[in-house]
Amino acid sequence: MIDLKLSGALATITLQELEPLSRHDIEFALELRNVIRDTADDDNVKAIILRTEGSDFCLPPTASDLKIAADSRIKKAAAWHAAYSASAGLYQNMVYCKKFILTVTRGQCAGAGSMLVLCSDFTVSSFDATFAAPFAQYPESNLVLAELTMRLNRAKSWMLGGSAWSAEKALHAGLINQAVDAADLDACAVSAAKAAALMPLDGVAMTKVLLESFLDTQGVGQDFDMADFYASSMLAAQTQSREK
Amino acid sequence: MKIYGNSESIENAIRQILFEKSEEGIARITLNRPEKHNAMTVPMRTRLMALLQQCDLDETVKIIVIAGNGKSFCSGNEINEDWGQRVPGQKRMSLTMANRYASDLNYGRQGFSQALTRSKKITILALHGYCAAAAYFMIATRCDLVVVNPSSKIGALEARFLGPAGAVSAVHINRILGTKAARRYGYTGAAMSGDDALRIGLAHSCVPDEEMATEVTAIAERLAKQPEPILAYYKSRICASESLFQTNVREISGLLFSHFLQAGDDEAHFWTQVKKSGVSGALDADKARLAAATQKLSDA
Repeated sequence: MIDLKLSGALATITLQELEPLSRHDIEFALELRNVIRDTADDDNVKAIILRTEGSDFCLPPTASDLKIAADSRIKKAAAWHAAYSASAGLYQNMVYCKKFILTVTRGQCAGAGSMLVLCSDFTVSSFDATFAAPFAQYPESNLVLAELTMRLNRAKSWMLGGSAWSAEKALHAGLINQAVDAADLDACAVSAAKAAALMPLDGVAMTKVLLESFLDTQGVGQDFDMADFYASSMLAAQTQSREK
Repeated sequence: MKIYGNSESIENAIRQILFEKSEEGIARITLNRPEKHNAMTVPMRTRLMALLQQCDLDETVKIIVIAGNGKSFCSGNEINEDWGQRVPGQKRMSLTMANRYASDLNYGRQGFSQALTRSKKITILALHGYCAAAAYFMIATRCDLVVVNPSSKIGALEARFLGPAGAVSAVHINRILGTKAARRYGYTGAAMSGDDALRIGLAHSCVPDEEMATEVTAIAERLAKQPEPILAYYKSRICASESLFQTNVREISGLLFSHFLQAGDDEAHFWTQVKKSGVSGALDADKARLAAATQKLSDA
């Protein structure tokens, strides 16, 4: 379930859970994409807060989740592409929409949750949060975006390091912008979104458009374009692993 | 293919770059010229490139660990090596040799640093002591995971006496350190400690010297437990992203031309000094030059 609340220039999208995104639930991805796009198109909205209920932002995918996700990618390849990696899909809608998007993380953040963090403009997190790299399991994950966000070697270290990062490490690396006590998390998120919403409406929109061209010159859009190729490579690698 | 070098350096290369492979699929390439802080001769660079290509073809190799014996990982390229680069009686390198040095061996798409960047295997660098000049911008910044110790001294240290800060132009370094830090270390020739390297994002981890072997082995063994096709997938993602991120472009380095540039009136010309008194003598002369320049600046 996706809940949308509007309050002046702020919109808050609250999800009960993000795990369906990690299971490649295409309907869920498109529903979230539509809410984000429609909210971004609302001329009264300048900043969008994206949060989840519960103690975790997005739990790590289980083996069962990963199997369901792989089946979805294989059996509904075109639909998966449209929902997850296409220019009209969820993630590119976040990166390239014309409003400021802020993610609020607590507890575990993995799978699709880590992609949402990468694709958002700003992330406020509680100190108890952990961040797992999505690249090994999700071909739509954008490594260039991570390299641009944290610099090259940190992204590689996150990918190959084998363990989730603490909020403190994520803050130092630049993956998140702010770490606060859990009790202050929501208030701090609203405060950060309000700060961005002080910018004039056309200023917010133009900033995102300018950011879009910058990201494309750096290879972010191209890495999204490669997602189908990465999906094929991942499938081949997994098949070969099983055969060996 | 022609092997470049002199008879001594060609003969020694096999002992100066050691290679071993474990049952777990971990290949270890060890620079073994400790009396020269593992400065790399032309044949050593050729052998390093050949070993990387050999590992690429070997399906049993999953991870490559690169390290150095002795006090330092590597001080860079051997700059006092006669490898037939000049035609007798001529001051400059021939075009073929200059191209061989700059393009094939060092900075170009055929160079050994590109063999590292484009290796199909995940590479881990164990870095201790000095990691300077070519070792910094052609090996350390090219490996996937870099493990350092707190007393490491990393950077374009040669910029203090050789002239151009070629490392500033390396896209990889700018992507890893950020441009301000790349410029700072480039212009000043300052040494980055292991703690600095971790803080700034070059290093994956920083551990005391006595724990380095354990740390590197643990990382390599953890990764090597994964199926080879999955590791190949990881590496193909890294290579693709680095291409999209434009870090795989050849070095736009002016270092080669530093050999021919004019020194200031009050500056010791490094290469002239090398010819007169060897590298040590040139470094001593540069200390005198640096002291005089420092005094001049403080008087200004």
